[in-house]
Amino acid sequence: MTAIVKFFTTFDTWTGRIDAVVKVVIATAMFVMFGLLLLNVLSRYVILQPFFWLAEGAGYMMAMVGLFGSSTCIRHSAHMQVTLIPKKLAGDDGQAHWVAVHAIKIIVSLLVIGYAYVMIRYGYAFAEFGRNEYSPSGFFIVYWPRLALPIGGLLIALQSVNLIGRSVVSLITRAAPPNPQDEED
Amino acid sequence: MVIVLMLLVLFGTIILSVPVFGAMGLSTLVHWIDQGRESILLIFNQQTMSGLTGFTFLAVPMFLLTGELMSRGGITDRLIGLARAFVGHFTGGLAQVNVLSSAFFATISGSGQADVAAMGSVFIPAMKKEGYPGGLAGAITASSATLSPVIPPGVIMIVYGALFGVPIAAMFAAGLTVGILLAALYMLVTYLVCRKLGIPRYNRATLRQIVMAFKTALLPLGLPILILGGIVGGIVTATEASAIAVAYSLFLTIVVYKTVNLRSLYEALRDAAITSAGILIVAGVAISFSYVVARRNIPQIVANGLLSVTDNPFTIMVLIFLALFIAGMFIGRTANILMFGPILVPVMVGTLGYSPVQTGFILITVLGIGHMTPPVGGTLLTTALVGKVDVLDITRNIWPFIIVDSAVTFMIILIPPITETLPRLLGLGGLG
Repeated sequence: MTAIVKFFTTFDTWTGRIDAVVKVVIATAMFVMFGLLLLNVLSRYVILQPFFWLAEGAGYMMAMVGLFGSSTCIRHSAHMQVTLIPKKLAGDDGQAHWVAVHAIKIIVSLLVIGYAYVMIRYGYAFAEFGRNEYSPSGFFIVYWPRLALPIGGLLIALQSVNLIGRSVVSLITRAAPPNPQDEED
Repeated sequence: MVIVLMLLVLFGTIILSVPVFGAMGLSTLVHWIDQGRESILLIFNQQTMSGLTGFTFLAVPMFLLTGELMSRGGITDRLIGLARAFVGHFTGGLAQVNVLSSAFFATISGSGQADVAAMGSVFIPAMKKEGYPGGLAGAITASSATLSPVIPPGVIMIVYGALFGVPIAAMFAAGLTVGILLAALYMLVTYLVCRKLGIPRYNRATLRQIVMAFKTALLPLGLPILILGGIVGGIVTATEASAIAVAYSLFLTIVVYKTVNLRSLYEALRDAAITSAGILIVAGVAISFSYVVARRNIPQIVANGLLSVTDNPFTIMVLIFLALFIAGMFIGRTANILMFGPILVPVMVGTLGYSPVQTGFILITVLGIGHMTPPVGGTLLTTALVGKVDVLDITRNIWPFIIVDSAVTFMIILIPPITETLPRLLGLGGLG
């Protein structure tokens, strides 16, 4: 039991570090997205020479923000979701309810991992189709931006496994799991 | 059978607390299982990617970033000062300032949650200190926060427009009418409630004070003028306007006011990216969900189902109203629009004959009522959390505002000119 707790606690720390990197990546992508859009406006209205690839690039940055940022939302429970049942159950101190809360959390995470699998496997296959394909502006090879799908899926799956780990640790120790990385945030 | 299974998976997983993007994604898998072709999974990913890279959707993260920058840059205080100079002397002065500040804040934030966070933490303690019952302070804050989505540049209007091909300019123009109408009615209700409770007012601001407040808020107020003027005037697209809005807010907060430094800029970028991610992933998966909904002809089946119950369009609208009202209690407007929009918009536009703009505002306002309705409305709970007020206390005071919201929604349903006049006058489209 101690080994399981130790494993998931370490896993939590590592996924926390990954999450910290993801946050820097999406913040940077957000800034680049803004920069490209601003250049797009300037090129269209100031120098009167629009470059289509600027808007395209901004779109790819947005995909990165959406897909990578989703894993952060998973970790910090920031996704749009209805938490009525877990909250209702968590309000009760009875052991059966307490176990039920974590059972639901584990099932939910497994379902998310199921969908993340589709993103990883078929997202990668979709990216592979674009290995020699250029974007409509002819500026980008679409393989690279499409890779955001499997990478995003992988990150989502990792953070979901971490949530399972947290529930398992909670079930074993009957306490909130340690989460050093989140404290640093 | 497949459709029933899809809806069962969708609602079953949502009730279980699966994130909305996962629930929608899993329900689309029912179509794949039925068809048995792996290529469908490739199409889902293709659709998701096309949703996530759509040009119009780019306005969503940009407007969210603008809101983050303006909030961190201390713009809220300037807007509150202006609102106080204008309406502080009305009965229930601070409450009126709360409503008007929310309306001003809506023009730079576009998000109801941001409004509650920004206004709730300022106004609820201040109102309690001035003798307002905590529940009333919470109720006024929660209901005025629902102005954000209907006042340009409300993010939900962009999401709706981008998903269903309705011009964002037309949505914004209609939003101006609905937003002003709602704000005026909220202020009227606030006046009546405060007069009944004998709540004090501020002294009337002198002309000099009004001018000073206006000067202080002049630059922040330039932002909505820039956005609306650009988009509704047909000069720039919503996405281009959103980039200009970010540039303007960066200039204002870094160069002029010097209230945002490198660290808070990073935090604004990070937080806007996280909030955007939550919306964008649902928007992306919603495109593949829409694909399945269209392939399965679900809107037609829903329309036939409704017409078999009654052929009276108004009764059908009441049924849709009730369904959305309940859905709105449990989950935010954006998620609901992305989930139910692909099914309901074709029914409302194609079968019932509402214009796309009117349909958008019917959906947005109905969902807003649910979001502030006890016991689980999202805005209600967030306000209770931010303002440290008991939910039950807010519940006792929020009913007049819910009645106003419901009345406005029925006005939008019954009187198309409310949403259609401005887009028609300006020739912005979106009217069918």
